[in-house]
Amino acid sequence: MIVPDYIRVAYASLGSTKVRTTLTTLGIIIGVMSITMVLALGEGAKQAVNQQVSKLDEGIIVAKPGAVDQRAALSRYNPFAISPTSTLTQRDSESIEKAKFIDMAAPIMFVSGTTERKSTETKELRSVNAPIIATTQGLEELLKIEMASGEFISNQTNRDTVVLGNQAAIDLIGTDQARGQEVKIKGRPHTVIGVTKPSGSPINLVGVHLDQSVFINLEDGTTYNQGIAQIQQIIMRTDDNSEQAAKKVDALLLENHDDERDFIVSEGESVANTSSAFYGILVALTATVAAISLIVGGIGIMNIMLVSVSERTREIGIRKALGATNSHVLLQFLIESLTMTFVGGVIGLSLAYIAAFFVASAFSFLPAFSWTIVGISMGMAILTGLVFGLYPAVKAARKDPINSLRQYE
Amino acid sequence: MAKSKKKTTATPTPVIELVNLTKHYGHDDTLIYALGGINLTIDKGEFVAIMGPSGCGKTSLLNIMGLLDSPNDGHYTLDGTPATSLSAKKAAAIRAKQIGFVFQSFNLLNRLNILDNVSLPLTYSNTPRYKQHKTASKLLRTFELQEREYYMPHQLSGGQLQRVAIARALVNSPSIILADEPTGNLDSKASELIMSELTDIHKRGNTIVMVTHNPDLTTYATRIIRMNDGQIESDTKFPKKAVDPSAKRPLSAMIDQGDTQ
Repeated sequence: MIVPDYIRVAYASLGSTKVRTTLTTLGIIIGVMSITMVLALGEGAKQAVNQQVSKLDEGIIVAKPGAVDQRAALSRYNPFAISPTSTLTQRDSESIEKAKFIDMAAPIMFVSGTTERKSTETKELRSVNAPIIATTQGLEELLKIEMASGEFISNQTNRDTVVLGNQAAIDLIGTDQARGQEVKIKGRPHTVIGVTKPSGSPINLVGVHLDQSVFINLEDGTTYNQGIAQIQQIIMRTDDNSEQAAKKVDALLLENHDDERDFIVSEGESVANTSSAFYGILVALTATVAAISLIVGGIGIMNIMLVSVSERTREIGIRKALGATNSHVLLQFLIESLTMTFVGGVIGLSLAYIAAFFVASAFSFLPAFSWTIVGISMGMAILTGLVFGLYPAVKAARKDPINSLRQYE
Repeated sequence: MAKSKKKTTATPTPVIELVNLTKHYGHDDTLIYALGGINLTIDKGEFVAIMGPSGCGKTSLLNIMGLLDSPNDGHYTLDGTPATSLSAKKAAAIRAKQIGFVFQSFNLLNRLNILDNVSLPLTYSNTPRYKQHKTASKLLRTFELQEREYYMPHQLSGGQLQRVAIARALVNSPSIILADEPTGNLDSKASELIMSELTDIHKRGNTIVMVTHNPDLTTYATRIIRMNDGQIESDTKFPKKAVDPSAKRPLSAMIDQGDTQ
């Protein structure tokens, strides 16, 4: 008996119990679908980050507080979760800005608080909990922020001015033509001097959605923190070799920090690593949960195959009497469960991509298609069929032909 | 080999040789002997009917001859090869190639069509699929079932099903055909038909061992073995009787009238 024979037999027996087969396969479909969706969306998000970074100029270097530890990536990703006392100081920022090998630099300080606006006509009070980014003029060019109206904050603008992210402007004022309007940041009034164009992507190397952010002067930001700058990131650009420049920045900061390595300097691809690592961990966690649904599907397969084996005891007896060996019977039942998981895998994979496309489009990125994901999903499906189909198949193979033939059909 | 067989038709070669075959079930106090030392030689071309009351050991004997079971003691030689203690795999391979089973309850697979059912033994002897179907189709034609090839078993009558089962038993051109109450589930008319098929097969040179309760069926056989309590009680050979087809016709007619089922 060769493999096509087994598949034909499997098809015939599975086809004779259509509802049961469909429901069992559905378990696998759901399992494969959830794993594939998680992987495709996670990978898509990762690629989106990398794309954002690659959109920026060559030679971008980022300095962040914290030790080099990938495991801490999850907590490091969220800028608000960083310890209130960041290890980067204004002194670091200034010495980087002064450095010859650095073309341009901008510190980022996150201020937490609400931004409010009272409508002049309706007296309606709107407030948003937007990330408040205190920075300098350089950020506009470094992150390629485009303005819908007005101008970005600069050295010439005073500490009572604010630039709104596109979405933040719409949420607060209702339009992105908001120049001259007044908003209150943590209770203090600011005049809107510009609104950014929508960036279209929530994912970038800063780690917050710039469209929803509010930009103020660094000096202004320090006033919310007893005059001390808490710098969470320094974004810079070099015209030199970025790898060497990054090393120089590292040395510079190390000197400032008295040889204590409590910061990370990254450049090139690794700029996105923090957020990539974050997505990596997130994907791993979610995929683990999704894998549980595949295990549940596998138990369904095992259950149905056990029922099938006991129902078809007589068939096993007949086949054995007519010359089937134990391995013939084993393979017959194993291929039946493998057929279910394989078909379930293919359907699950296709549905996952359709669903992932809709989910991802809501977050303005595309799900990633890769053969690795296809391989992982199909591999998991087939492995499930193998693992959960083995015991019923062994049970079938070990049946005694004489007793099996006695079974009433 | 083939030539010597043809020459020695007068002194037939043994297909089955059983020496002091013992089979028991249970342990110690509950030890039951199903077969208590059977010595039996069945030659090529014989049509043997094994008779006896229930529990006399005839089914155990048939199971051992069919390599579905192995004896506790004694020797079994099938077609010249020792077959006493074979591995399950080897036993299965011999079943696929040298033994044809005909069961009381037909034992066709309901999900397969007639053609696939008949070719089933061939799938386990690595025969290409087109050859399987060719052989099966040829056989079904001799049983006048060629129009039913693509029917499913539930669409056929009992007699037709048993003819399909006989075709299946013949498809691997076995050394021996083992029939366990082949007419037990059939009415008298179908029984007669099946028995004449078996006789026909026998006349073409096949060796048949049939287990039955029905004494009327023994008229088709060339040899009758009566068993009781795991022993052979009597062994009678009627070499000429079954070869003469005219002898069985009136008898079968009598069975037809006598049996109202």
